[in-house]
Amino acid sequence: MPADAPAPKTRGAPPKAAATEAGPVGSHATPGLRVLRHVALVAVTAGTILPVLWVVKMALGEAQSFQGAELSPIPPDPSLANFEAVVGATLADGTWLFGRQLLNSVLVSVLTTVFGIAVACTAAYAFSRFRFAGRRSGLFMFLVSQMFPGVMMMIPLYVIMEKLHLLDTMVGLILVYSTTSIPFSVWMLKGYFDTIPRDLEEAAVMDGASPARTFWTVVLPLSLPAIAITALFSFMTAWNEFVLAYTFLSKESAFTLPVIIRNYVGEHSVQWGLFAAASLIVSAPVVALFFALQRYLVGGLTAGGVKS
Amino acid sequence: MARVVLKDICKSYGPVVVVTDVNLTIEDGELMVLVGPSGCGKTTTLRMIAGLEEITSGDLYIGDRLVNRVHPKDRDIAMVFQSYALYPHMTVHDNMAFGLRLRGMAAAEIDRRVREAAATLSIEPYLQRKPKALSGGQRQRVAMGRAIVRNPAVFLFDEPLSNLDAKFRVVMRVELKLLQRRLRTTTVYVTHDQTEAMTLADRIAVMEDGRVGQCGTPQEVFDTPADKFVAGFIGSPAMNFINGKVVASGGGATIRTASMEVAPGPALGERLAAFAGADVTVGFRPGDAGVGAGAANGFGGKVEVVEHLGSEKFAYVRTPDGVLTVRVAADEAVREGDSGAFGVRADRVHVFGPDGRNVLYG
Repeated sequence: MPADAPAPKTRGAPPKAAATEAGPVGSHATPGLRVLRHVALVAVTAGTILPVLWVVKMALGEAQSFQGAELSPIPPDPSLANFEAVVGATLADGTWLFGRQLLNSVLVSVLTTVFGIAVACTAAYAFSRFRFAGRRSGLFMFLVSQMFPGVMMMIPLYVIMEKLHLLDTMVGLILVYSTTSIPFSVWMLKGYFDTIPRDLEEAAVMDGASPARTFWTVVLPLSLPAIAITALFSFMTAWNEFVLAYTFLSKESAFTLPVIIRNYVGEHSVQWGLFAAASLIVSAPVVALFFALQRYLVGGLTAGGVKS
Repeated sequence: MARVVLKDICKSYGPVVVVTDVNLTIEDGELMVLVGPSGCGKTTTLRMIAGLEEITSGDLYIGDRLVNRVHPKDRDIAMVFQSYALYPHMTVHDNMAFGLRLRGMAAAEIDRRVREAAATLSIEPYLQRKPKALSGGQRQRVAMGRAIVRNPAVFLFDEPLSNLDAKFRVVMRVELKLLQRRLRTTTVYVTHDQTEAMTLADRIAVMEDGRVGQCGTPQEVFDTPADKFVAGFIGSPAMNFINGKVVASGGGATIRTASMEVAPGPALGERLAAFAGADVTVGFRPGDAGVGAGAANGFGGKVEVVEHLGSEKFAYVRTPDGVLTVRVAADEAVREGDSGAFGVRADRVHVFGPDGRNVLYG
């Protein structure tokens, strides 16, 4: 519809041209319609938040089951007993189990991220800047590897890990997590490196910088937003991963946090209160990281979308 | 300080040839402008001098040294990029100091040089700023500063003014020329803008299709273009071209076109006689034509458009030979729709043979 067309008869459906000119969507709507829209938005928001609030309620409540639970997200008499129980877990010999498992999770996630990013950065830079035999097929293989569900690789990975005596070890888990996260990271970073003007690198060459120096002092500092978001994804994936960890780890002292959550699901009953408390504890660092890196996130996610 | 010599330089990407047999000598301290339309190979030539592109064949000397296989950093050159290519995460000071640091210069000496260059370019107040906090002109200065702190033997400029607005471009053009005059550093400057080329250059090399069509001082290239391409590319508005036939007359020859009989000056008539009977192209610059005509070199036509530039006007005249551009004085009464007689200075006529060469000066 051309922009100068007569006003449409239905007020609720402004033509496209009018909507783009009018600024915020809905500023021309009638009060009734506006209320209706807000009701719909509140409903959707509540639907999203309520389950999370319910987990909080379970964690703070005393009940370990859903029997007779109210829909209200407010716990009847809140207490931190569940959190204390999860955090205070100890082994028979008195070692602090939760602390050990937290350390496992932190080490595995951080080392996976550091190792993965270090490899992915250099690989992505090569894929972005150099033309070599196998470049296209390499990129394609990385893409294809992302299309298979991780569970599919479980059995071959288990066999490999067993042969290498890496079962129940942190190194084994880090290697497995890295290999699964690197292809994604390479694609993500390559996309960003592609947007960095070559002129900058050529200027560095003229200034006398070696390729390694150029990469380190010019390309990497400019790529921090993309590296931050890629690192975050890598960290989150490792931190939250359950299936592989549950398969490769059998000693309680080697467990990562997602595995201990599973332990609150027994054969005959589930301790939902402890389960919820453990879930919240595991989620907290990720939420905190998200907030800390927020200012990079928007830039990182749209990185490469438009030419600045 | 150094002389740059390009000897039979060729560049091809697989079967695609982009630069063919370029032979140029840029004298010590000279400002040479490579000019031509986009895709003519001028930037590729510059990048080969810089060492950013490999030379397919031919020899490149900087000073007395053959540098074909010398790494860019060891060629003693500095380059200013079209996009400026300033490091966005470094301050102006660090941008300028980067190359010096990589060469292991002492911090005090680096600081002294950076401040000196900054003073030369009046960018001292911005030394601690990042490039994004600078205007286009300031960025341009920083890019030049980064080149001059190194005190190189040769400057390379790749269309450095094309990102500036028209007015500021003229200002920077003058500054750049003054700077080069003062430093007397051998300079190769690439542009597609013939005005920039004419105003800046000690000598111009006009490039077309990967080869140098003509190399000479701005005046030489303007007055005696070697071929039709150079004639049409240099000068604004562009030279008028008319198709005609050479007719022998007396001791010399004239050229007959649809609207006029062109008789070049007596000295040139003899050279033209050799082409009797040939189809040629007559060329004359708008500034070499005027209102009112004698018998020879006169043509009539109707003024279609008049462009007012303040100090002068350009009349676009419809003739049987097409629309011809004529420069007229600002106070001359030439109006759109007028029909009138115009004439061309006989000694300023150019004649191009079937191969495009200038038969009078080529």
